[in-house]
Amino acid sequence: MTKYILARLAGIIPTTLLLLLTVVVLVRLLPGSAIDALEAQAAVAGTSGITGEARAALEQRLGLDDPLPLQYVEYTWNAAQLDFGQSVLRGEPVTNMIERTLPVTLVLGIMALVWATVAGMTIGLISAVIRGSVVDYVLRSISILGLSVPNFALATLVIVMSTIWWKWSPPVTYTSFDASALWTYFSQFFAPALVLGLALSAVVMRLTRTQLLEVLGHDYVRTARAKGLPERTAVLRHALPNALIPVVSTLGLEVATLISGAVLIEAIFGLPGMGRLLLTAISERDYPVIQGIAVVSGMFVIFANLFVDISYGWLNPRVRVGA
Amino acid sequence: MTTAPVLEATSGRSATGATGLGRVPSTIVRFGRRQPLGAFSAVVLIVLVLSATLADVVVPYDPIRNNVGPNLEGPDGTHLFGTDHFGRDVFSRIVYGARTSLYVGMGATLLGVLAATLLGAVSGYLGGKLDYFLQRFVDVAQAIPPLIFLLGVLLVLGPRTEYIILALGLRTGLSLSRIVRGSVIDIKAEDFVEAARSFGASDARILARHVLPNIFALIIVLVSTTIGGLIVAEAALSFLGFGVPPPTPSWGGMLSVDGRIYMLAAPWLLIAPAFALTLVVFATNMFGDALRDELDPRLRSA
Repeated sequence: MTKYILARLAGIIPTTLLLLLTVVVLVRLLPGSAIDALEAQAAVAGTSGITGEARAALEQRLGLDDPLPLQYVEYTWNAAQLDFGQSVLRGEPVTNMIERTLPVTLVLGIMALVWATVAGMTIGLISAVIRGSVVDYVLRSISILGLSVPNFALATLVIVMSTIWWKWSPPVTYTSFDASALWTYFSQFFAPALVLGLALSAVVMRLTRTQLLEVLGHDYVRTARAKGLPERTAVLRHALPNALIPVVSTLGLEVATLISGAVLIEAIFGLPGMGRLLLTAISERDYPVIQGIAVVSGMFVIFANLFVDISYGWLNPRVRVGA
Repeated sequence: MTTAPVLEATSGRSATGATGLGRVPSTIVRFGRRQPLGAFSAVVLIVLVLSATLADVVVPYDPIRNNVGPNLEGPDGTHLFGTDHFGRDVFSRIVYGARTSLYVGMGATLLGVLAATLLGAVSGYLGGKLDYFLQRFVDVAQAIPPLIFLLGVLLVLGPRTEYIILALGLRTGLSLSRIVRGSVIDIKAEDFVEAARSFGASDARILARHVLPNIFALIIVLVSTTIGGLIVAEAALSFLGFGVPPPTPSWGGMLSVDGRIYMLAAPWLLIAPAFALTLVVFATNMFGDALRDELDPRLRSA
């Protein structure tokens, strides 16, 4: 098992290095440099443009005058120490900005992930046990609908319709974390997390159902039933754990989708998370910030999949031995 | 629609006597009987494609002309879905928006699946160091959350409909190539590939004559299951203001954050595009699922 974990850990190194390379190259490919964007902003603001020495100094600060390989090595070296440079516009270290916004995204994402997993697995289990019944059909239809409503459309619908119908609208101002007012803090995430997790819960539900149906046909479940175990034990103890293995690995793949969704949901519900920071940075062409967010979210996905791989080996001994 | 030739071509494996075009109607009937929801979705999609193609004829007003009616007027006989804050006809904008959605969705899907087939086939068939190297690129493309990847690429390319198709196709192609690669690796181990090689067939010939025909069903399934997600992706980009540049109507753009202030007074501005988007995605997903179940049931849990 240790060997398996070590092999998987070593496997993420090339991916991480390539991720950093992509991020560095992408900024080099940009039409006009970050400085042109700054200049345009300065012109709008009415201040004087950036010329001559100031421009050269800025280029140097951003490392844009270095050859690409050097730039890459420097960026990687700094990123390894969690230093992603400074915001071009604000001069604030990107790491600080991410540190400030990441917890919001994490709370949102984890709440969505937890409710989607619990609801999806439970409904999938019920649906599989009563397969073919009217309730099963209704549950499956709802799940397909849940998959088809784009989350940003649903979020907009939730906000507009609840305002019109119940005169309720999500809090306009965000309340920061305060240990003495936990309810106020967490309740502002309920609606966004519900919308964000909806599609995922449908994915989990459908997969749990198909996997469970397949596993229920296997010999070991038949044996469990044949030796007189109650149906409940046969399903919950013998079939379910095996059926959930592919579901868990799907959750790892869905982390990337969840982060994408968070960008939209944060923008709509006005949550000051990393997604909204990204949108601001994009509209301001603040490249170091965009790079930092791409790397951090990429690392989240890579580690989520690593975690899934490891739990996969733990859940399924066949994988462990094969590696 | 391409439905008929596709079903005809793939059901050829289990041909039951009837030959040629005479089989097409019965194939469609059988599909309709076995997959009623899939057939219903196909009808929805055909209506959608027709109205998008014939938008100039179908639509009562110019979708980008202001003040064809009063501002923010509710749905009635003259304006089926009402008007927006510029006095533009919402129904006309929805129909033209379908054109945008389908153009981008289909374009990106075809580009993506083509790229996935090439990349997956080469990577899986040749294997070795090249495979390892290509797959690490796929890892990275999958590690960066899709929306961040797309926004990044569009920042480099600039806001143009064709670039959106390119960005979406690129991202999809990299992701889907994994599935194609897996399938190609399976086929490579088959006896008939071994046999062809022992006859001295070149790699190119084996790929073209033995591998590709065997992943054809998979490719059709990938096309039909990908398109819904890409229509949503285009809408999401337009919603954020990074999609199809205005004033071209796009469902995502019609739902955008800026429009929310008017939606409180005029909820039809929200309901029309949200419903259109949900219906299309629902129909493509259902049709894709039905086609997949018919063509390749092994993929059901994928």
